[in-house]
Amino acid sequence: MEKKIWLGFMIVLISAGLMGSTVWAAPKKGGTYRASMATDLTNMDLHKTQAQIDNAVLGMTVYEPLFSYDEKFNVKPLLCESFKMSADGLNLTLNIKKGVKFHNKMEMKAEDVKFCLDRVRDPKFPGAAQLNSLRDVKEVKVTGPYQVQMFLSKPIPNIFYTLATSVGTIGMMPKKVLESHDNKVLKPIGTGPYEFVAWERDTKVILKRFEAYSSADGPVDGYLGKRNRYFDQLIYNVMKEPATRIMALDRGDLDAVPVLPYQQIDDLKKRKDLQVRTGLAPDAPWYLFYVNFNHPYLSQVDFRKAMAYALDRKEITKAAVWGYGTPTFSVIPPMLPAYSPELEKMAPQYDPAKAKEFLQKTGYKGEKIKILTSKNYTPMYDQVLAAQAMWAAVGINTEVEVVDWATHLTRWQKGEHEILSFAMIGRMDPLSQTINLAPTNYYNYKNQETFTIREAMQNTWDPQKQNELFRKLYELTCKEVPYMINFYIHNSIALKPHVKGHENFDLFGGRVWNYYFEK
Amino acid sequence: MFAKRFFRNKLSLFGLAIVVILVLVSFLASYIQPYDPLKISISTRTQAPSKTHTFGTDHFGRDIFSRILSGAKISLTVGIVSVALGAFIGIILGAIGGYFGGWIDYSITLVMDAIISFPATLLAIGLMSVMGLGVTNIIIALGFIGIPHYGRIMRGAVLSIREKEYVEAARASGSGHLKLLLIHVLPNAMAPLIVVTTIGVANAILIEAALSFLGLGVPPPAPSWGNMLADGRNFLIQAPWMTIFPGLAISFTVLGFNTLGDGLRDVLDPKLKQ
Amino acid sequence: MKKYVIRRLVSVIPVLWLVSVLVFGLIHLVPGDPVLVILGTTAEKDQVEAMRHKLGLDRPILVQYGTWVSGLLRGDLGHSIISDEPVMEMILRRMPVTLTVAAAALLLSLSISIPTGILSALRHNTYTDYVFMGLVILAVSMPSFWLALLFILLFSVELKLLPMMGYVSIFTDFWEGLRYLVLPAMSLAFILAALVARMTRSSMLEVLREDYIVTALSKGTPRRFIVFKHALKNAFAPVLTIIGFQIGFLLGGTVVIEDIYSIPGVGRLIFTAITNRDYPVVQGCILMVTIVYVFVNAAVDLAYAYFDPRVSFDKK
Repeated sequence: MEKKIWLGFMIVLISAGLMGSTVWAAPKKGGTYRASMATDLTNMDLHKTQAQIDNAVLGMTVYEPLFSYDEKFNVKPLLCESFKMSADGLNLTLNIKKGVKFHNKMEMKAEDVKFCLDRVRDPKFPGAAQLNSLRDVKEVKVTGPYQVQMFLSKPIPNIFYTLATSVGTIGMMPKKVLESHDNKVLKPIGTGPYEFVAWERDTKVILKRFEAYSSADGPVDGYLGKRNRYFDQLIYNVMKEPATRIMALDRGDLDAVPVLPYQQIDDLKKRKDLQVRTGLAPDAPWYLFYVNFNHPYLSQVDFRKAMAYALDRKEITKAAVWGYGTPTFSVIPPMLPAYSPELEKMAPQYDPAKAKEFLQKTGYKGEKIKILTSKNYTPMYDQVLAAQAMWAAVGINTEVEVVDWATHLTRWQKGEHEILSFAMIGRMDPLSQTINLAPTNYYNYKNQETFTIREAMQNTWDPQKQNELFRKLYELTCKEVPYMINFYIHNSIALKPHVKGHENFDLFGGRVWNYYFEK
Repeated sequence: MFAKRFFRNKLSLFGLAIVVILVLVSFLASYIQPYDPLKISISTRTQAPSKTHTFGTDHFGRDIFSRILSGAKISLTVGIVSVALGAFIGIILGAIGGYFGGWIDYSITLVMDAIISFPATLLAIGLMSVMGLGVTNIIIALGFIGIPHYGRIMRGAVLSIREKEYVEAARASGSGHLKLLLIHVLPNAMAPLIVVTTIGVANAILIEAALSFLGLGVPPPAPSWGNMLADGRNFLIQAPWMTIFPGLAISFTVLGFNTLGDGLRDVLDPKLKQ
Repeated sequence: MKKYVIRRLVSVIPVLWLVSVLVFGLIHLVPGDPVLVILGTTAEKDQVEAMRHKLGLDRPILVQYGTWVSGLLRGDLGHSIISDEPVMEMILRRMPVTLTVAAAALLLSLSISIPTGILSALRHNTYTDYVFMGLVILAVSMPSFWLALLFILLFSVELKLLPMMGYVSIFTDFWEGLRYLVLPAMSLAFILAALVARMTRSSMLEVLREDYIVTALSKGTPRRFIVFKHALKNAFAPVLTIIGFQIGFLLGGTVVIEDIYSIPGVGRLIFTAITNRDYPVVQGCILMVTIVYVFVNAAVDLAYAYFDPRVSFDKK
């Protein structure tokens, strides 16, 4: 009898020891994570900037929005505990989590939320990032110490996407601090897992673990759930040259390079001393050609069809991003719920013979058409050269006009172009993704059917209905060819082997708070 | 007499030889180049130099050797025409200033000083940003930048001659201003002008290369050597031949004009050894 | 002499004024809207208008010029449109970087070129002379940025000796900073040295031909003595003038070199600012650069007049 107790006791001890050793093998706290940035930050005040770099570096680490994405890219509450949208879609009640701490140890209250929601849509606040998407918000009221109500003049179907978006993150900031500094962000203070230490212009950004972090807990599900904050410090180094980033990674000066030069990815993937991931993110930028509808030939649907059937999108993707993109004609990217593979079949396929047929119907006599592009984003330029050859093969003569980025942007906005090579930032909701099919488009596209469908999309609440309309719009673009999308680019990242904790979801935007070093 | 001295001078011969080769290449490029410099071929991108592609291919599969041959035309055109433009305007302005003196001279000299007070590359960048890319614009910009260099020489020549007796005599006898300038002044300025313009072509080619490298010069896909260097930069490790050969081409060309200029300087006026 | 100094310094003012007008006019003529650069492809029309108004970009151009100049006279160069930093701060932060690189290049260049030039002059028309001058012509024919790329290829990629890009200040960490200076300084110095060597050589040659030198030689005074006492002193003056030229070369060449080596200096700032249509930064930087250059030239003129009594004070 005693022996049995002893045995039992031993078993318990040993199992405890084993369990302990698995705990031992669990992620270790500590270390400084060093990554590169392709450009320097432009602004520390996230309410004022839609620049990708500001939102990528500060948007998830220092600041947190009210809503965020789960693993399936559904929008769920992050800093809210719960929410309620009225049946008529005009009243959104947000119940804020209690005990969420700012980096200055103050608790986040309803007044802070109201302050931020007002700030991002204030027409008098220069650069207000959500001026347009929250235009129909009449008023934001504090209706309790932890409750805020938004009153809308019209339903805003993509309001949750806006509250979660990383294009102009509506990060929560402390009202009192901003008010005492003339509404200027002198030092970013948010609720995020890492707090701001310093920004050495054109050199680096330094962040350190926020010990009193209290915003999120629970099982990890996309951006929701526990944020472990294993690293002590995060340092983002400005390295504008892709080659320097790889060299720095090799030398051990960096742990991660989040944006890889396409021409080197093949070689990098072959290496055994690096972890390289590439893949499509749901907000992938899409590269396309716009046409100006004021042009005698470009305004003819047959001419545009000729252009579309002449293009081999797979070849263009190879030329422009060395294959690290998803060739597609669809404004619905593969990762959004509205997508299905049959959409591809509706699009114009590569068929030079058919292209020539369409061309003949137009009376085109070989006049030179100008393609406007810049070289700042190399795929924009590279896709032009590839397309130029393909168009020439069916008899469409083009001439490339290269300008600098600022001029490129200006002429895009003013519609001063014939064919325009461009890229659009990917948006996660159908409305934002189809902004260039709205009556306010810059390339003189006037199609009543398109406008009507999009208007209907703007007025419906039902995500099912929205996706249906989204698909209808897409079908229309296949028939009308208002623009020609070529591909979505992939995200890429290279990590040193000792960096652990990242998964494919992190291609979307790294959850550095769950990465760790393995010794 | 000049010709004899010229052909005896090794420098000028060497320089002339290079320039002649370049001129021939630019005229004959389209006949001798093995490939179309603009034709892209993704499947053969960034290939090292080989039997099929003497200097290799670039990131679009374009043959580098053919592009270099075609690029010669661009460099020579930009270099020579911009210098001709700058010299033409500069000579006129310098002559007017030196001859008439007073407020005219002061304002012309002021403008020229203002232009020279900018480092040339910076000024070129500024001008090209305003005017936009294009061969014509580069020629205008580089010509503009060169004006003071030629203007000063002409002005100096005019000033040194102005007081001379035979000029006074000629003026007294009623010769027109223009005739005086052309017959008496210009020959004096010829020697330094020839040297400066030759070396000016060399510098113009260098600045054009820098501009194109920065993306503010000859617009791609034209095979300007500067453009080729700009492309090569992103592939420095993968395809160094994209950088090496265009650079050699530029150096070779500029060397030709520099040695020609130096040789001319030795021949025309040994005292001019700057 | 004093009158000359004052006159020389005062003559700088109209040049500076003309430059300020040119700079302002040029940069505002450039097509391309800085607000669009800030807002990017998500820009929507009323956001653009609101920002333009806040930045004062919708006011008539003469008003904008007036505001800028009045700020200038107070020493205020305005704020960057893109990052809202005070332009003066941005320049002051980057000026030391550019100056360090330029100084390193200048030192390197002088230490190569002056001995080379002197040696060539002394061994005039010998093998040494031809070799050196051959190298010189070769060096000035190469684009500095191509050299820079070749250096990177050789020293950073192949030999892995030196860092490829970036900058560490020698005041923060001397040896590390030195490593980052080597390639950019070499890229600039190589060509600069060639130019200076050539000028040194020719001015030495001229001086060596002077009568009093020939006389001293025939009297039997040791050559070395002559070289160091007489020739050098007199050859020095023309070399001074080319310092002004060197500064100009460095300021121009630095833009491309800073771009290639990712050095956070003024040259790179100008280039980025032009790309972004950041008017105040471009205006401020170019004005600063011009002021430096103009004053250096004036200083050189004055030094020249001081050292060489043969130069008259009424040059115009």
